[in-house]
Amino acid sequence: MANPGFFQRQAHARRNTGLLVVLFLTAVSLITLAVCLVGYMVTRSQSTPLPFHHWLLSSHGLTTVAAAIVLIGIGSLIRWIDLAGGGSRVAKMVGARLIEPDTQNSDERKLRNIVEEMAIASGVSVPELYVMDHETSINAFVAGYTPGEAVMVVTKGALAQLSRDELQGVVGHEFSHILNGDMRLNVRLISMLAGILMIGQIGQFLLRAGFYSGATRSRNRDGRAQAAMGMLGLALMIIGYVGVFFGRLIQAAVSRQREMLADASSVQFTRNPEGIGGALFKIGMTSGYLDTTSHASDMNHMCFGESARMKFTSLLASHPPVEERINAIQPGLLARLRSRLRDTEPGAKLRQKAAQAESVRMADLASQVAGAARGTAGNRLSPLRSSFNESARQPVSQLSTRVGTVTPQSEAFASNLLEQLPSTFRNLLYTRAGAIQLCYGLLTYHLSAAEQKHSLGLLTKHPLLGEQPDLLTKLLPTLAKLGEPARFPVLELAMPALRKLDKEERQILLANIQKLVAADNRLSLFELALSTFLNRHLAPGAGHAVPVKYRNYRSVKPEIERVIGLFARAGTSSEQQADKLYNEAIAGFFSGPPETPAGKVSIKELKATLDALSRLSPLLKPGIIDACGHCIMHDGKVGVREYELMRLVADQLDCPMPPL
Amino acid sequence: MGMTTVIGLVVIAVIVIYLVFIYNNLVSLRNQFKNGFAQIDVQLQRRHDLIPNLVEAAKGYLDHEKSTLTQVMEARNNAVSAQKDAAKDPSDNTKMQRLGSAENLLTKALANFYAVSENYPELKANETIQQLMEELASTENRVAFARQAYNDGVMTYNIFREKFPNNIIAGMFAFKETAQLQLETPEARQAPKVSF
Repeated sequence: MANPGFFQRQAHARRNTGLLVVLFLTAVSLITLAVCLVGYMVTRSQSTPLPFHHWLLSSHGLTTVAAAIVLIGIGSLIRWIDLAGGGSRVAKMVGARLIEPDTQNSDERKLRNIVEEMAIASGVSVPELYVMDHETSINAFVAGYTPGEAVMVVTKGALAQLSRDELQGVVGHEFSHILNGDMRLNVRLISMLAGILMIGQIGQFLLRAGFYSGATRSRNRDGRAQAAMGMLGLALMIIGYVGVFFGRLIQAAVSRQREMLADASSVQFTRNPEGIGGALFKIGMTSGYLDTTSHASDMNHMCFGESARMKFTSLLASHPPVEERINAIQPGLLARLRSRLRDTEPGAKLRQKAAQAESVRMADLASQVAGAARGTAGNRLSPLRSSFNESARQPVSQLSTRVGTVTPQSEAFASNLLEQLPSTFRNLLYTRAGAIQLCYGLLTYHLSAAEQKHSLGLLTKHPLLGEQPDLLTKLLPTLAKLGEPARFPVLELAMPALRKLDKEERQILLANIQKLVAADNRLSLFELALSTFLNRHLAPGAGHAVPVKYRNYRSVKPEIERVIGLFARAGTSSEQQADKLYNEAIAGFFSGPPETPAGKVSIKELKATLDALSRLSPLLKPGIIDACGHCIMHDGKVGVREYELMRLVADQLDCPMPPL
Repeated sequence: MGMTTVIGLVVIAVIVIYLVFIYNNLVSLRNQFKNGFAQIDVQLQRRHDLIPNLVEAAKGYLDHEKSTLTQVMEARNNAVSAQKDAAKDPSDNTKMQRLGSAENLLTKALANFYAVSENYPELKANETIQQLMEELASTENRVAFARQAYNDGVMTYNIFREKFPNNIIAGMFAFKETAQLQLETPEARQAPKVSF
């Protein structure tokens, strides 16, 4: 048995839930009691001065109790009817698409199989399956009041980025929610909260009514009654909202226990703690927030990971922190997952979409870290993934399908390059000092000796990051010999060493690079490509996913036109040919008569343009890569300039590029 | 009818209701794990049905690996006959063991096939074969999960059965202790000896 602890953890979570539910019910009774106390205060002057517990049993008291309970009941019932509808309604509400039982899509087929496996493992009938096509984050949820009408909704991101085992872990987790009746429990708690909220709302209404009528008819003889009504309203409002706040806290705590229970059950069903652990880890690296639906917070308690950003995160979160969940699944698992990540992608935080870049461009490193990186390479990057078949001749228009894949050609290119490198040179790139000096060398090797001396003199004095002439003398001749085509591949080789730098060192390095770039007062394409590349991978924010801002091509029309215009002119020397290429490439984006491409683009403009494009939805990016590829590959040759431009764009769009 | 009689009757009624409750629980637990067993059978069947398709589809690519394919087919045919045997009488331990080792041989033959197919990229790229492999992997998971569900069910049943006072009822109505299912027998763990 993989982990004998899960039965105990299930029992523990169940006991905790029981305690919390009792606490919740106590809170509801206390609120009812508090309402009665308010009623007692109001009516005390009229009736005989009875003590509270006697008053409670008098007709006044019983009426108040009944009224409070009926109020809470009505409020709850309205919410309950709203929530307890069938699961398919919820799925449609978030814009999910039903997966047909006989689907031919291999990802969906896989999901279906996994769900059927889990149904056997858990003894729950197979729920209806839905997929959220436009959601690239990793998340999943189940909805439906009873197991029979449950539906399971999975995001496209989960299908694409998770391995089979991890997806199995997630599905197992969701099955636990179905099996343990969590949906029902949650709907009940939420309904009761709505009932309590009703008291608060009535209080608010009374307060406002008392205030307004008091203001319009001041000095009226029933002014005192108005004031009393206002006081009553205020009291009810405070009770209601304080009650809701504590209710929410308890409800969130219940939900966290249920998540723990579901994690434990997932291990029980799959007997594979690594599956769900890996999935949680991937969520931790990115986020599970659902961006395309406005119902995210309603779904929150049902999701696999947090679906909405909340205030008071730790108290109101419906899920425990990811680290805590992984640790609960198996102590030490987190450390193992981290070290595995470090092994596959040296030193870096997971740059989710670009992660497989290493395996592409440094085929030799990729082979060292075994199939792991390669095996997942396709899975991580859904929109760009394809079953690239080497034997088929690749049409130019499908460049994006090569993004993030390893092909024999690119491997051949890499090994070819590696053979050309002198071994001392190569070994230098694997050391931190050597890698740093390489960056400096790349920016200065084409300069004359005097200019080199001047530029390198600008660098901050630092034992590691300053100028190191003895290393540079070893690097510069080789760089000059290899020439332009090798510049980027060599930099790639140095990346693992550069990632080992700590935060301050990285900052100094980036500052130094900036100085070198600025030294000759002009910014070349290569300099821009190099500095954005380093910034992207080494700056403090590196690895954070760029938030998606644009969801269609129309909103970034000028930017697309600018980039494609640039590529069209880079792709050919004749003006006429450039116009033709431009029109061909742009036709896929916008209908209507094409406009003429914009004139010269300054490096600064290019930078702003690419910034905007990087905020495009990942599903839309391949189109742009294809269009750019169309321009530079129309003549069957790719120049160094063209390649570097392409690299720059692909890097900015977070789509790693193999050599062309 | 005196007060004592009434109290006595009530006490007896409560005890009877409690006993009925225990009995019903035992019955439902027993049926749960039996369903688990039925699932194993269904999934083994599915596995056996998928393999000929896979072999047929792979034939064209594996001209030089005929023996691997024959091995897979023979192991499969063995497993089919063992399954038919075992299905007749699931409580027969030796038959279950034979099925277990036949399934294990089949797993090993398939593993060998997968290893060989690594050398044929075109084979792995074939969509039909990819689909069949996914189906097969899924089916193997299902067998494993069904067995696991069965064993979990047996465990719950045994625990409930052995508790006091449930064990009295269980003894009275012959709810036997049930053993967990081990498809992997010690002999099957040894390297398979397949000769042609």
